[in-house]
Amino acid sequence: MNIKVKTTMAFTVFGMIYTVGAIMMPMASVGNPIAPKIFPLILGIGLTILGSLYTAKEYKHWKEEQASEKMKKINPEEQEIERKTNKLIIFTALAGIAYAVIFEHVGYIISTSLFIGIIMFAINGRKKWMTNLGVAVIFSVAVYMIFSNLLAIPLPKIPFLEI
Amino acid sequence: MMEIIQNLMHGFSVALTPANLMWVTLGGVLGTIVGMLPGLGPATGVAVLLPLTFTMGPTAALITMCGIYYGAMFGGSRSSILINTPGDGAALAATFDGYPMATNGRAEAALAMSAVASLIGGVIAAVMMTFIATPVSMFALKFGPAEYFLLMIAALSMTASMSKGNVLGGFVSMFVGLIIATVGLDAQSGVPRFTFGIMELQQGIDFLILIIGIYALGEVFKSFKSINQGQKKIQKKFGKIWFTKDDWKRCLWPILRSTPLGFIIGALPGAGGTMASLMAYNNEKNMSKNPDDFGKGEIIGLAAPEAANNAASVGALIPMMTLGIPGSGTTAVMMGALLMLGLQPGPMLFVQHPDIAWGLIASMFIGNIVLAIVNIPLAGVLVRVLAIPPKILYPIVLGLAFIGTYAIGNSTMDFYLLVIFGVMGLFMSKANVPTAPMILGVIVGGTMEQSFRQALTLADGKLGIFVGSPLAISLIVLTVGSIIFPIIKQIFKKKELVRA
Repeated sequence: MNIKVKTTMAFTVFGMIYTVGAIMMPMASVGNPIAPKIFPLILGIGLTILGSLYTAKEYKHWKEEQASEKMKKINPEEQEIERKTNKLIIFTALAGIAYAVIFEHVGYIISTSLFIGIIMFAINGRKKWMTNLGVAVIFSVAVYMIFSNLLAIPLPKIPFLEI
Repeated sequence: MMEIIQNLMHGFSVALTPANLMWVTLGGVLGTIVGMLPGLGPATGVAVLLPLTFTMGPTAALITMCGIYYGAMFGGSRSSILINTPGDGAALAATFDGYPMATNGRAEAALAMSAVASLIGGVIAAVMMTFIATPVSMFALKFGPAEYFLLMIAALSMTASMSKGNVLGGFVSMFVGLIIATVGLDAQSGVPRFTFGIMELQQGIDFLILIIGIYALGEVFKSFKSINQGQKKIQKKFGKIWFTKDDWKRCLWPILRSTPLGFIIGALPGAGGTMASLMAYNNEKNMSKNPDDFGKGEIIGLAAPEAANNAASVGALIPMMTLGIPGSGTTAVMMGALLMLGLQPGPMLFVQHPDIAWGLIASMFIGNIVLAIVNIPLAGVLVRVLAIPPKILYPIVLGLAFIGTYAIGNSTMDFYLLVIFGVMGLFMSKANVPTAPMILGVIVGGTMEQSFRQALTLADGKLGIFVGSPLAISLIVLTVGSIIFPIIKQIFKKKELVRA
């Protein structure tokens, strides 16, 4: 199955789960007890129906494509780029999650330098480590200064050092 | 009439202080820089730079935002002209003739004409807006909850059905958006909905996080594919950035024609700048005596879409400001900005905060003029940003996206949502599902449910209230029409294909 069918299927399943969630939601203790449920129920059922229609349409389209053997010949070079891109995306997303975990514990400057730094290493290569480190640290410090001094928005400080 | 002019003058007096002028210039320069980055348009520009305005007063914040907004639009066409890479959809048409002009050695004329056409388009559209805003908001004040609910349905279904060739995808996207909006404590009964026991989710999901996720993260993810390709060479030395008298004579009419066209298309929900600029381009091509020159560096082919694009960006603010319903991603971000300042866009904005509403309209005039002044002489300096390799720029954009998210809610919980939305945006674009209806759904979802329930309470639970007034019925007709129209169009197309 291609990505279109998979994505539309994911939406349909999400619609179903959401509908179940809406049914299981607690009743309201004030006013009409089912009032908070009505709108989510309409949405859940609506998404499930539309999602199924959409999946059916994309599935049919995919089958037709296969039958007519219109499928593009897979170019190994393109496949390689695709694989690299996906790896980079997954890496960045995981880095984002790690960033969220350490953000408040080690402070803005350290967590951000690490976050930008490893992404720079991932896309800019190891050879240019000076640039990578420079960009990561300068960005973190500059943003920190702008936010805490100019904009008066407090960011998490480095523990013990309190900067 | 006199009252409108008085209001506008008041708006100018609010917006035209030295400090505000400095902010709009700064916002414009920053916006231009962000807008020049491939894939990052005005929506991302405003979303990422939003935290800069948090500590300003509402007027200063708004005028800065206008600067960022127009700056990003100007920036988008810079990269279209010089490296054939549009910042966003609306700047696409500028690549058709702008880039050929640059390769023909007329980059200076292209840059100047794009700025002047944008300026004229923007200013004329702002004049139109000045006179239309009040009547529309007065009319909107007559809406009851049932009509308001139906109006939102109409706007949503129009946006969804505008999704080119993928109406079903548009509606799925819209439902997902409305579903995201239901997360949080129910405003009327206090029942927690889909919060999974997480404290931070009780207040609901801030749609700015969705926007930053989709536009900033999602776009960076998408551009990872081209990050290893060699960088395009860009021109760094320029002569005098201006165009000839003959260029001006040929372009004036196309600019004046394209402006109202862009304005009207921009005001329709879902249509926006991309459609406006493409229509203006095709229009001029059809009207031209030498249509074959288009695409080879015809300056009219650059001037017309640029004027239409800027006019559309002003037109798009009408439904957002007067009805509280944004019609596009960019206006959605602007609305988010207003909400952050504690201002609810909608008809009451003009009644309760006339200084803000008119200050914003005045800012549009000022923003356009300042941007043209900044962009023409400084174009040579600003475009140097394009010489910074994307390998360095994209990590910085990621950093800005996260800090912007943190500044909204001071919570790292939002970082997880940001990553989820970024990945979701990537998959949606891979599967060709439009994201604009989803964003719109998240924004209007809460109000939509409120009006729905209010209407039902008023009518003792009878659904008849939704067909109870001529206005309600016409809104239903509009909704049904917007759903049926693309289906009929498709059937006709198929029949034609069969015949051929």
